[in-house]
Amino acid sequence: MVKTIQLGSRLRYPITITKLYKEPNQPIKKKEALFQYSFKWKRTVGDNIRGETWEAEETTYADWSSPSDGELKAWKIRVGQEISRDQDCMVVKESCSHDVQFGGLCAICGKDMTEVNWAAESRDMDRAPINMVHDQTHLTVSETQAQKTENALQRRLLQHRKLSLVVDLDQTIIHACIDPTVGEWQKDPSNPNYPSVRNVKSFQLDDGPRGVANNCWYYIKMRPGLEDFLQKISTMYELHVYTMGTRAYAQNVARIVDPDKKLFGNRVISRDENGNMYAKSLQRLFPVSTKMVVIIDDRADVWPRNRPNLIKVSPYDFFKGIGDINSGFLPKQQDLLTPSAATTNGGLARIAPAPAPDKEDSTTVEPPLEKALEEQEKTLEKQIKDRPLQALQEQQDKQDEEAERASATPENGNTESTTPPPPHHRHQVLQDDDRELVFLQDHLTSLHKSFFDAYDQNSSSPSSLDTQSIPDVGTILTNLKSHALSGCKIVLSGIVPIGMDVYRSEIGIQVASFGAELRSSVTRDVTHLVVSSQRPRTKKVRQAIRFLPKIKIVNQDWLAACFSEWKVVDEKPYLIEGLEDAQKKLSEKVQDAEATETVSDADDTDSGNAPPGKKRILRLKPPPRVRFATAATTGNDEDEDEDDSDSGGDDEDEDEDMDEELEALKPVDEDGQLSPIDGLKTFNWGSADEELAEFLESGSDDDDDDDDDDDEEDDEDEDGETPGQTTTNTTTTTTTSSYEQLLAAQGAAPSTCTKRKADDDEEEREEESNKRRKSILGGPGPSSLRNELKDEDAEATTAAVAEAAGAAAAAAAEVEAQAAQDAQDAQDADDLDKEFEELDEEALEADFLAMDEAPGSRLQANRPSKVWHVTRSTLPSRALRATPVQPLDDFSPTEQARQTKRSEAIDPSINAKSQSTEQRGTQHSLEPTHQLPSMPQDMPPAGGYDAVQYKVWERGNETRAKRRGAQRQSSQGSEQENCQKRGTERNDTAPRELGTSTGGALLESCPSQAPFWTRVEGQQRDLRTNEQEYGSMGRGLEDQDKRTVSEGGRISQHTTRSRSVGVQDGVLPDPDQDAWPSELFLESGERNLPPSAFKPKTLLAVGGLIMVYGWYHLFHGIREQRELAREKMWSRIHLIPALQAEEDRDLVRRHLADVQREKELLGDKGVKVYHSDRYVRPTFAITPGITKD
Amino acid sequence: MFFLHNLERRVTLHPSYFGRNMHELVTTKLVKDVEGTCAGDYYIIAIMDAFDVSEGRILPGNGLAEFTVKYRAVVWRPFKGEVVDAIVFSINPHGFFCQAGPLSIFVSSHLMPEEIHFDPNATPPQFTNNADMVIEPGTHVRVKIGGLRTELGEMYAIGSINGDFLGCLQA
Repeated sequence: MVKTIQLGSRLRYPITITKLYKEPNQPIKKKEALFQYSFKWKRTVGDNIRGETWEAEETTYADWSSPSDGELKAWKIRVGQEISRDQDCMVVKESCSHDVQFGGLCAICGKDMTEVNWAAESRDMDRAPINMVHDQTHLTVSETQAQKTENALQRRLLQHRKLSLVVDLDQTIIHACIDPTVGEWQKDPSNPNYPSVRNVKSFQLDDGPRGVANNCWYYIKMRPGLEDFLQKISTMYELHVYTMGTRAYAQNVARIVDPDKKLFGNRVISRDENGNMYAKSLQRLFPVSTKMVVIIDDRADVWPRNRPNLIKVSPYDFFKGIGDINSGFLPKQQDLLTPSAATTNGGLARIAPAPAPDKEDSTTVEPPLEKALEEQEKTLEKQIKDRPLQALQEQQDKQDEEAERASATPENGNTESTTPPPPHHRHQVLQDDDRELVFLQDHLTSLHKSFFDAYDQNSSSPSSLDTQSIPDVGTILTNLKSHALSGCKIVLSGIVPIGMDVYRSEIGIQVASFGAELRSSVTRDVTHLVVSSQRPRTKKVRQAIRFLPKIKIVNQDWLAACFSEWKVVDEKPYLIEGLEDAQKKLSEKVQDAEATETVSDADDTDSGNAPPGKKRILRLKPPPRVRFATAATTGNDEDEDEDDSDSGGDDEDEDEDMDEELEALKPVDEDGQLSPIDGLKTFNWGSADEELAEFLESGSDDDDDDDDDDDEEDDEDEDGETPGQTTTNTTTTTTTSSYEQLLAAQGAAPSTCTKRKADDDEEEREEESNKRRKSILGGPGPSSLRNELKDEDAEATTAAVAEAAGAAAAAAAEVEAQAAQDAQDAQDADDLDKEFEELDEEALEADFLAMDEAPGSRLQANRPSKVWHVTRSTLPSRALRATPVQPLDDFSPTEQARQTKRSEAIDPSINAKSQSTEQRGTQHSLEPTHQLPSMPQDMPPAGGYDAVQYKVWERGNETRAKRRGAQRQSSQGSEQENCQKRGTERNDTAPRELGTSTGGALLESCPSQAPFWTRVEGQQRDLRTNEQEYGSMGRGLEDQDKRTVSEGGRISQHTTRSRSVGVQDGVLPDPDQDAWPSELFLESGERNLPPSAFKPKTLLAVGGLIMVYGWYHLFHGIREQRELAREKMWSRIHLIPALQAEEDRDLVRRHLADVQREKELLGDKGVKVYHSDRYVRPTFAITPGITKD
Repeated sequence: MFFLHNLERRVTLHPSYFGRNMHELVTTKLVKDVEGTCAGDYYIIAIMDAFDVSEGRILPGNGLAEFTVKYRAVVWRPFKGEVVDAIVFSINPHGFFCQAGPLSIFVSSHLMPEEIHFDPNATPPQFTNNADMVIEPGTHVRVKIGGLRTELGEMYAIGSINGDFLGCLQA
């Protein structure tokens, strides 16, 4: 009862004992504080948000509580002691050690052991883990108690010179069955089996399995000589029953076997108490020592842990074909030594025992418990229903009749020990000829003897009952057995199932345990070949025949006899017959012939046959498989090809048109006959190119809409737009020298342009434009130059490009160069210029005089169509064209050239410039040919507008054309003035110019595109300048004051305007800037507005016509719709039934085909596609209220 | 100790039993279901009467009728320290098991008088003091309950015969 208690592993070591609360010999209680201890630990203190933490050591005091009740005997610790790890702390005399527990209660103190408390490290339940009582599972004991009990047991046994013998019931000492046939035979003395079954005991089990087997009768046949055996053995052994049957069954059987309970007493354990369905264990009964325990059982595999103690007996199989009725739970026994009847043992040679279905059924491999139970029940039910014994007997009777007819050979030469059945005309199925127990008794006796011999040798004095010197009965048993078959070299043939390791098989282990040497193949030194009597002609037999006199070829019963008798029994009765003849024949043959025969024989055997057959199959098989595989792979390849082509098509061309074309190519592709690119050979690449170009253009068109707020981007976008337009335009115009030039440039342009479009994305373009912008910012705006560059020779353009990309200095140099070239040009085109000057003047005058006359016509008539491709209606160009007319007294040429390119454009050496501008102007002059007809004739006098007026008027204008038209009509003077103004504006408002110049820069950066861009450029710039001016209009007219001021001595807008006005009416402009300019009004006082739209009448008329037309169509459309609907209805009425019938026919046809196919596949043997006969309707909704029970 | 206890239970009745004598059926079923069971820490020994059978309610889903029955029953609740008479049914070296009605009691060899010891050689094995006291299966003993524990549907008890007037009952 005194127990040393440890501190426990849960404390925070090292600890220091600070105080002891209890003195020795004081009573202590569970969970009571016994001593105080302290321990040091680190605490993290500080501000963990700021990360300023550190560890501070702290000392904590804690109490240690008692894990158990009792009396403190002694302390193993003292105050002040520092303890670094778990150690003993005190000695306690526990009030109760809870050694025996029953159902969670301590059987000694009555306390509940299931309680868990914090003071104890382990549960009290764990103190008594061992269950060693036969008939109870709730009673557990502690190790000490178990030891004590077992010691007492051993002493007692030693005292009585006894051992423990654990006895299995089924097929070991008894054989049980529930076949009701037995009961009937018992009542019928005339039955041939009557003598055999006369001694069969029976009992009714009420708590047996349910169903048919409930309340059934169990027929128990004791093994012959059992009573005698048990009586004798019980003097040497204390007997225990250990069965896999239920408790009730075990007790009933025990009552039959041992009515007085003298043999087994209450030492009966069944599967109910075993705690394991599949294995038995000696430790369940003898947890401490199995040294004095012997087992007899018919199955060795259920004793995995206690093999040394086991004496395996041959199974007692009285009721043929029944087997062990309680073995349903046990794993299937793979290798039974005597699975068939002892055929050659003088028994029933002709009985071919009916297959034992119950046995087969019951031998599933370790099913789960519930399943096993069910299985067991089924087995039992089957036994009751099928009555295998009756069937056997009937079969036997039939055979008997035949045998009687044939001959009168005495059948019953069997070696029955107990009850030889009287001769009868009918033969009995049940033979009671088992002699196992006789041998078993001998073995047990000798074992007992050798055990106590050994014990007597070991122990000092026999009376001392020294449990230490008890020899292990297991080793003694092993020793005894190991001499039984020593010297035998045994080969098994046809006994161990194929695929099982012979050395691990039950028989193999047993052979080895008896000291015999187990061989896997027949050699010269083998002594015995054990052959299954069912298959006596195996390869090994053939091999063994050669060594026949030395090798004894016996059937498996010899081995069984050896096992049961523990000695090498006489082989004679077990020898396989007919082998001598074979041997004689064999010996007559020559050696080599024999060898060949064996070889061929070897080939003929099953095992030999299999491989070649397999090989053949393998050899045959691959080709088709390979073919199939290749077909499959090629198919795959094709598929992949298709895929590739598809994806390739997708990748290469995102154009829808191209896709469509590829799709059109597809069907050809799928045939696999043509390569996917075959179609491309005939593909019209030219058209594709055109399409591509179109696509790209349209793309740029789309781009066009993007940004309207950004001037510069607008520029670029519209630049991108131009090529197409230009192309179309060019084709319509007449050919000139410059035209040719242009064409050449154009020819290059679309390609480069498209290339660029294709290659570059918008980002790049953006970058470029940025670059350009920068370059423009860096130097004076090159846009002015652009005007000259546009349609000039290639040198100029390339130079301009360089300039655009280059620095400001370069730009300046270029300007100078340009100026020089301009001068040259001017000389060249001097005459022309003059002409133009005159013409312009004329035109101006004509404009002024005849306001309603279309100037374009005049211009067209007069001008040579020299340069036609430049933008129409370029305001600046017109302005420039007008420049010669204008006295440019205020502008010193040098100053202009120095200041900006733009101003240079209006240089006094304007002659040269004017040529280019004139060219543009002349080009512009072409337009009126198609512009004029749409021009309203009641235009205001062109000369009547000055810049401001023009702007105001233009603001209301939506269409470019109109603007242009109006502008064309506006006087040269005003245009010139505009131009001048712009020039001046540009001079001081550089940023505004940027937008303008950007287009130019763009143009200049790509010389090849220059001609096309030029036009747009000019147009664009034109517009923009206008717009800028409109924008500036907002700021207004009041800005102009400042500008005038800021411009200083330069020409002011007002002066310009006054001049132009002066040209018109000779009236000086009103110096008052706040008033509306008088130009806005006609002399009549009306507002001087250009016509902005069609006349209301026209509009009304046109709108009315459109509406009438629409109504007309609507009317007709409705009628048509109605007609269509009617038609449809009628078609439905007449056509649809026909279609429906067609479809139905098709369905039926398909169904029949399906049925036919199914029949082909499954045959017509009632095999169903579905597992159940019941057609399970698919459920789409769960109906409330219907639940499954 | 025996008590007369008022209890309540819900009894369900299959629709096929619906009829005039439903209440009788309910009572029968109640008796069949309840009598002899262990309800927590007491055993229901016998039902005196069912004094209140409620109206039946049909349980949705399966159509069973549910009656709430109030009944009066004789219950037996063993207490710690209670002395009961029991019959021994199993003996092993650690002690013996005896049965007091539905309750099986384990009497450990520790809780026996000193002179009583296990005799395994007797058939059947027995506890004896080699005098008048022989405890073997079937013997009537008077034991004092030393501990009780209830689990779902079963009770475990520890008994002692270590005391005056405890132990074998001379019939």
